[in-house]
Amino acid sequence: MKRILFPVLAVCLLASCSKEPVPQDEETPEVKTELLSAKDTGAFVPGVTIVKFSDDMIDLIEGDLSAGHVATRSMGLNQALDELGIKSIKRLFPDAGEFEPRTRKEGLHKWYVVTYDEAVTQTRAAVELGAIPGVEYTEPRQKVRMLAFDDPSLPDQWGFGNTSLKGADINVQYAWDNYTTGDPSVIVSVVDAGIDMTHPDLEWNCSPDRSWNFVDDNRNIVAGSHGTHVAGTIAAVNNNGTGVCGTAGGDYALGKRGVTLISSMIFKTVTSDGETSTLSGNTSYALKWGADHGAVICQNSWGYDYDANHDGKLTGDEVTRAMAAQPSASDAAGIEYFIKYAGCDNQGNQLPDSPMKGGVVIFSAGNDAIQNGAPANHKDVIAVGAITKNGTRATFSCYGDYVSLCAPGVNILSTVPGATYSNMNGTSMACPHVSGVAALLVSYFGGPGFTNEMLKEKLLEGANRKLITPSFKLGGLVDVLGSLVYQNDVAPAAVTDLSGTPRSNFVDLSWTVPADGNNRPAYGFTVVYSTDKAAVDAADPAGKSLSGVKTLEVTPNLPVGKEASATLSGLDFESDYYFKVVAHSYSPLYAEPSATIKVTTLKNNPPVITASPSGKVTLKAFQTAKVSFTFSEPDTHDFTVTYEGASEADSYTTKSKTSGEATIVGVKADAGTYTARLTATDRYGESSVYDLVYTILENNPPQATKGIDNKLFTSIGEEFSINLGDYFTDPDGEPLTYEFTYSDNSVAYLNLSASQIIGTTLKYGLTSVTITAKDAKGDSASIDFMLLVRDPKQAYSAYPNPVVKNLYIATGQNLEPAQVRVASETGAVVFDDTVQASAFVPASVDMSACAPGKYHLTLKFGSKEYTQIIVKK
Amino acid sequence: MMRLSDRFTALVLGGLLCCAVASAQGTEALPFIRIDRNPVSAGMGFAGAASTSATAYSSFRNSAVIPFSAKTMDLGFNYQGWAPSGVKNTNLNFGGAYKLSEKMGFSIGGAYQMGQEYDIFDASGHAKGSFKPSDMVINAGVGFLLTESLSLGVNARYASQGIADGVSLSAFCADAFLLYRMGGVNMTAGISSIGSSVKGDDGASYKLPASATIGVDWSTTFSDVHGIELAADADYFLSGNVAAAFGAQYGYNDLFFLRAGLHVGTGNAVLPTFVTLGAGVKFSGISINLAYLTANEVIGNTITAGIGYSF
Repeated sequence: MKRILFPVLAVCLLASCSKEPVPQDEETPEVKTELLSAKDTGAFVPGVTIVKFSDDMIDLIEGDLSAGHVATRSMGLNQALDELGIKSIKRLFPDAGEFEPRTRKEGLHKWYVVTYDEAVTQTRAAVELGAIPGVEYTEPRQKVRMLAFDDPSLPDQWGFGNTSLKGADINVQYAWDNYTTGDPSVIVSVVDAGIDMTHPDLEWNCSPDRSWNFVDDNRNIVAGSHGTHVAGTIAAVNNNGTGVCGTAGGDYALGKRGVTLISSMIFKTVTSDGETSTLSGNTSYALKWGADHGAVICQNSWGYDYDANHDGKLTGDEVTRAMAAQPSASDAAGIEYFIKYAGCDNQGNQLPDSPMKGGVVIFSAGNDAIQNGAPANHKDVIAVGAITKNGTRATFSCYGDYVSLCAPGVNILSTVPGATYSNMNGTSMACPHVSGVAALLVSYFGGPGFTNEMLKEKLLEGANRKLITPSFKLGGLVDVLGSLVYQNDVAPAAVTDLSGTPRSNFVDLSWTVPADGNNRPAYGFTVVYSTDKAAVDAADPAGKSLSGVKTLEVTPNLPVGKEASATLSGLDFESDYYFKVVAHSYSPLYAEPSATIKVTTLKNNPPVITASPSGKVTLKAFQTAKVSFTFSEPDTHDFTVTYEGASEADSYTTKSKTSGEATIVGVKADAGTYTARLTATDRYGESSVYDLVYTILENNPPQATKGIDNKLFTSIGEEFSINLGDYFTDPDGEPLTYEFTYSDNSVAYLNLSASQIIGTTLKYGLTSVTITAKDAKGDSASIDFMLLVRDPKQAYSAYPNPVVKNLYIATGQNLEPAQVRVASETGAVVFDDTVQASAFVPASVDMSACAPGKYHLTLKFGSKEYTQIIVKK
Repeated sequence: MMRLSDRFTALVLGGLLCCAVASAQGTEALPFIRIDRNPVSAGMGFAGAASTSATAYSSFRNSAVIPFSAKTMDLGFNYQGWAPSGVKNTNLNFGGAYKLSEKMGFSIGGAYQMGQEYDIFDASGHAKGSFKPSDMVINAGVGFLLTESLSLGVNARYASQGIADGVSLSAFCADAFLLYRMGGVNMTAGISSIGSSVKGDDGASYKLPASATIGVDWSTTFSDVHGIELAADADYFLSGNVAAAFGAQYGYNDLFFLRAGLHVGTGNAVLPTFVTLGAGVKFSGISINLAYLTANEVIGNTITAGIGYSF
């Protein structure tokens, strides 16, 4: 997460540069200052101003300042520094040791960083410092930021091999195989957050000794995600069985180190009070640092921050300022120093152990999606925009005439601190692709006489401009192989052993990969074929003369001597075809064609259908049968499968292109024999048929084997269970499903659990229960039983009361004799008999003849006698 | 779908299946109108239709006895614990007769019966609460002396019975008797409880327990202090049943009385066979009488206790 470190100042100014020589007369200051709007203040570091002194002034004060004194022999400077609340005054480009002579020659020793009380406005500081005789120039320090988004994405290094859009990558694989994977003599200065130099995928290619922390001004490199990610894209160790690859990461398995990374650390992430912020360091010095420490490539994925209100986007005046942005003079000085002196001695001559004379500074174009970016727009810098894996401009990428090249910049997988990896987006991610390619080119071409201008030419002229639409204004897509072969391409030798084998209407060709003059394998092959031998013989890919023939382009990326192959498809069956192959280089330069060969194609064969199990399928009505089918095509032609069902019972499901499954559900159709048909037809109409014959047997309904005894309970909450499997069976042996109904669900709670009914009595009363067992076909059998919950105080039940017709008298669980006497209220006995009764088979007394009124019931069963008033109405 | 037993369909619809259906015999409606409310005759086997010695309750049976009564007015009230082993009614009865002249008298009476609360069950045997039935009888009668030894009595009666919530039975009926006195013997004949019918919930009509009734009563006194009264009644009911009642009373000095009786009912006659015992005391026109019914499992142990006043 990016966070602006310092509070926004009320007013800021952008200092302008005066090109006039510093006058000797201290009374006449020539330094000009220019006030800018208050909105500019957020773009500058408070309390810091960069000052360039005149030669005379330097002569006067340098001794004092180098000795660490704040007070100097310049009274004007002393006075101004006092008024500003001076904290420090240090060289912007510190003493460079052995490279100090050229540093001084370029006047970089005259640049100082003045640090003072942050409460002092930059307007005042500029006025105070600008008024000092001997001060040639002042400028506020630009805030800078990393050009990265931190959106995670799939781990996919598509920048090294794009499967979404062929060619929309940096085209590095062939170069790794046949040119170079990088050379440790090539040093890349990564001006960014610190590189995790202990990362297992980076450590081999890092040089901690040459690295510097420009935030804290020491050698302690603090690993940052952005810098580590950038470094990984340039030179993550290749072929080490770990993590990701780098563009110029060497070959660990072969013991070949990649290019050397040094960390010029200008960002440091700190956490204070739970908030994370990013501190930035001396960018100008960091730019210069690489040149003084062996680097010839300066990688910069950073730019100026114009998001004054820190809302994450540029709006209004922010856009205006960003569109007008230019490199600060101090950064420009650093850039120009690197370009001029990288790989050189103080006189500007190439050092004997340097791979290149002069340096190349590469900057990310910026992520504001506008047509400008600074310092990337410096005229001598290679600015890099970002593309997606579909070859389009990334939505965030800056673009414009200042952008020289583009590279993959969306969902880029690379190293991050902690021995881990992640995806990042941004021109920050595109830029190291170009730096890596530049380093790879220097690794291959580098040496005495190789200059930075030669490298730039190869980079820019070798770029792939076919894939990137000019309207994107991103320049060309950086192309490793294109740059390697730029003005350096050699045609391969001819193919000498072309042979062909027919397979139906295919022809498989094979040949041995020939070498070019540099003993590198041919990059590609053009296969020319036709049924007309004369046309094939006459065809010339180099001359674009391809009348009457067809061609196939093959880029096998195989080493010399390996067998390359190609398959021609869609040919006519049983026909004579003629073939020749023409090898070519990347650019391309064509070899002589191979000899023309004749191959006669074969007849077409139908697809083959295999069923498992095969043969007729017989199933019971409740059963489901499955038949698996596999399909093969002897000629490897595409084919389609159609299925004609025979009834509602059968269906077909495609499992894959070469398999499927028919399902027959017996319950869905009547008993009988059916024939479904499966047909496989190849693209040329040749077909095979498989008749799936199946028989569904007659269904036998389930049966009730015995009745369920009526249940008499004498308590509430009593639990019981009935295993229905004891009462039902199915002649077909199929599992049955059960359901139940009852006349009064308030008497008991019933629940079905598999084949068991579990019940609990709820209240006194009677309910009839019907259990129905069903088979898959829906045929069923039922058993009814009564469930009576009776108050234990109630030994019998006489009902209804009042009675209209029949009076039922229910006694105990078992059928037993009961003596019943019914008498009128005046004692007339209207019924007196012994009957058989139980709780579930009650005795019934027809009282139709009895007049309405009260009656007296006397009931004797068991050893007890009971009486009750019965009312007839 | 195969069913194990279709008989259960009936159970689901209406209740449990009975193993067999037996029919009860027919009965007459509102049988309680034939209960003897007179604590004197209640101790004499319910005999006494021709008795002229206690006429307070004659509106319940035979008002033809009033013109031959020796009293100008006879009033009575009694408590009757009916069928404590059966329907357990508590009856409160009253009656009164007043002789306006030697040739004419009238009577009134009434009864209120509080029945035992019974439990209600629906057709599936589920308890649905309870109900306390009650009955009521109101009578009025008049007697005329037609000749010196022949009288005519007519009663009109209204009876109702509440047997269930919202279900009440009611009917009008009448009694008509001739009574002939010859010496110490009273003979009476008439019809009892002839009236309207009652409809049940099933739509059927049920007749009241009407009968043709004859009765005879003989009483005498000897040795000035001993009195004997014998009574016998017979009923032939329209239902075809026959009932007969026989009673006897011994009185001492017209002060203390002992009574006994037998009632015989054939078939399912509205009143069955039973035996009664009774006792009474009378002083200065005030009488207290008790009757006890026994020898019947349904209405046995019925007690009638009454008080009366006559002059």
